[in-house]
Amino acid sequence: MSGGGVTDSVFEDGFKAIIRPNCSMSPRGLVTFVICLTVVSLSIALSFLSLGLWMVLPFAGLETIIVAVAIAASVRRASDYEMLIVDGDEVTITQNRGGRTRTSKFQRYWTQVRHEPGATRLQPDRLLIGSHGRFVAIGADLTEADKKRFAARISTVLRVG
Amino acid sequence: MATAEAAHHEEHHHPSGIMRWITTTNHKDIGTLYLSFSLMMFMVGGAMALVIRAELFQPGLQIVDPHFFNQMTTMHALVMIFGAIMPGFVGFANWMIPMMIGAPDMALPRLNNWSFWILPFAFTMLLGSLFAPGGGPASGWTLYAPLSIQGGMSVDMTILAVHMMGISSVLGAINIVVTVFNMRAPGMTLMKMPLFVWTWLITAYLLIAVMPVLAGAVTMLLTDRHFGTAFFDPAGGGDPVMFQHIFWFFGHPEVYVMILPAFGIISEIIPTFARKPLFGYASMVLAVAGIAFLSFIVWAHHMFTVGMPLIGELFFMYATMLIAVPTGVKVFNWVATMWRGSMTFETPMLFAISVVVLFTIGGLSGLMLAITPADFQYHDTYFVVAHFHYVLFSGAAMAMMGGAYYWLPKWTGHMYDEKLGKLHFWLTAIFFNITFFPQHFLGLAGMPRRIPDYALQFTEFNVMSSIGAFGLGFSQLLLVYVVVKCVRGGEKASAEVWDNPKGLEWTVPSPAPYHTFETPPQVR
Repeated sequence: MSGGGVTDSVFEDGFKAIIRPNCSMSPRGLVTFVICLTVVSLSIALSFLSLGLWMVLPFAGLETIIVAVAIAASVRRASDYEMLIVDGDEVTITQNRGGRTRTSKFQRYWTQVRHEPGATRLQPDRLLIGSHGRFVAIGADLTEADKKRFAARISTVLRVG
Repeated sequence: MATAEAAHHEEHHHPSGIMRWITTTNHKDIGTLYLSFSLMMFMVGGAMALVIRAELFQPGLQIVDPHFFNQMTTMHALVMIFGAIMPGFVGFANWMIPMMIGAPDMALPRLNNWSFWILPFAFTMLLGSLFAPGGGPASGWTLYAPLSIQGGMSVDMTILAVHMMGISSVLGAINIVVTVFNMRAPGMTLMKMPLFVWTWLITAYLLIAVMPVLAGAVTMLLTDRHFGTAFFDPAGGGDPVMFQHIFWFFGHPEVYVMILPAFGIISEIIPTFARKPLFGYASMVLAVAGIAFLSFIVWAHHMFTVGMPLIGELFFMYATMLIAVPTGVKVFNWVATMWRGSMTFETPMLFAISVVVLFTIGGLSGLMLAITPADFQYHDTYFVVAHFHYVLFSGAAMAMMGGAYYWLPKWTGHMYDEKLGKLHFWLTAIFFNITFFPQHFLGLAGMPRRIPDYALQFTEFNVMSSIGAFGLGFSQLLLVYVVVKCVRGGEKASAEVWDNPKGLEWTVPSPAPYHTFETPPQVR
């Protein structure tokens, strides 16, 4: 069970923050759930099969596959994270979404932190970190208030260095 | 691992106008879409009910021919069940479940969008079948074989529409289950979840378990019609009674799909206006689970008259009567929650109390129908029509109305017009009883259901019922007016809206921000 949110730590001449989405159930728990569901669904389908009504089975099988795929997609989210490391003169942002990792590096003293409100009510605020016209949006798993707090924290860390 | 070379200062293009609603993956938008669709279908299905009641106002054939009358009874049920009640509850689930468990959105937002947008196509197909050669489906919503095997092209359209509705329901159910399991805020253990979330979790299980059965049943109907199979066609050695078994194996859990979320809604409303915590939370959860389990072993009470063995009749009779136990626990707990509470009677509470009273009447008439020898008398009479309308209208639909008034300020940021809300409640409750209570007497006196004409001795009660139906139908325009008025403006609602309500949804401002709980709140 992953609580999600920001966890940060300060070390000598550096700072590390990890942002994770919240996942309330372990992958093992979700697999157990899929197995339970499959047993119930297939038992019903096999009972009808024994009566000659075989067409329930393909639909039950298809549905089981969709449930498994949906669970897998949700489990995969548990491994998503965003990591920001300030170490010496370097700022490194590593973003892992759906198993794909992207790393961006910036020079610490040129790095800017921008907190931009959404252009409309429907758009979330954006937290941008970068320099020289190259910015990375981070903190999609944070609330607007937490984005503001996180932006202030990072700005302080960068200035202190 | 790739290094970001280019600027990621990407713009988030959020479409506006109609494209916003077509492409949205936001749970609140999709909840609004479901609820609007449900209200629209409620009006369409209601108009069909008025055609039925207009014809039954007097004995004899006055307004429609018998075949069209049968199309109306069939379509009224399909539209109300699959178009109004089920999408309505999914709308509530979309809006409320993420906020109640402290999640930023549903677990699978794109799937959520797709689940909704299948529905308009399904209902275009279903309603379009009325214009097919030979008219719409006329075999009743149960599509019993062999009548449905003999129907025209409209039956094929209905089967395809039922498949689409089934896909929509299953995808919605999968999304709800995954969301509840994987996206609860830290500290939000299963036994801390609001009862509405529990009822929907169990409802989603039921849907996932029984929807393949419906899909298989209607597909076998289709192959009997067009591909030379004989699953249910007696002309080829098939067994039409087997269709009834397979249909009701889906159909009875489906009844609970339509009522369990209603239980959840009133379990949220009553504690707020009684200003007491819900009495017997754990027993409420167990009762819902018990009802769901029993729903799988009672299906044949819908078909006592087909001639099943005595042991089968006894089993299904006792199993059905057993459902009264967990249901009784729930009714007791709602009453116990109100007992010595500091009660006030705002519109949502009026609806919730009426659900407790009127649903109990429906439950008791259900117990009468569960008694096999008595059912031989009541089967396919207006007593059954009265029974299931007390369960589905005054249970499911009125719970949804109460829920809409309860959460409308949270959704829109405005208070609804309390005077008009109360007027809507009283008109609905009074006209509902004028419409459906006399139908008990009609059924007990032997008036069959699904007929456009009747014997003269049934006239008075039918006149009463039809007058009530028109009053009930037109009263619902008031609901539309109140909702539209509330959406457009009104007194500003506070975050809590009511007097110290419990639940995470009341911790966010009104209207609820477009993006809530991107970081989960801590639940203690």
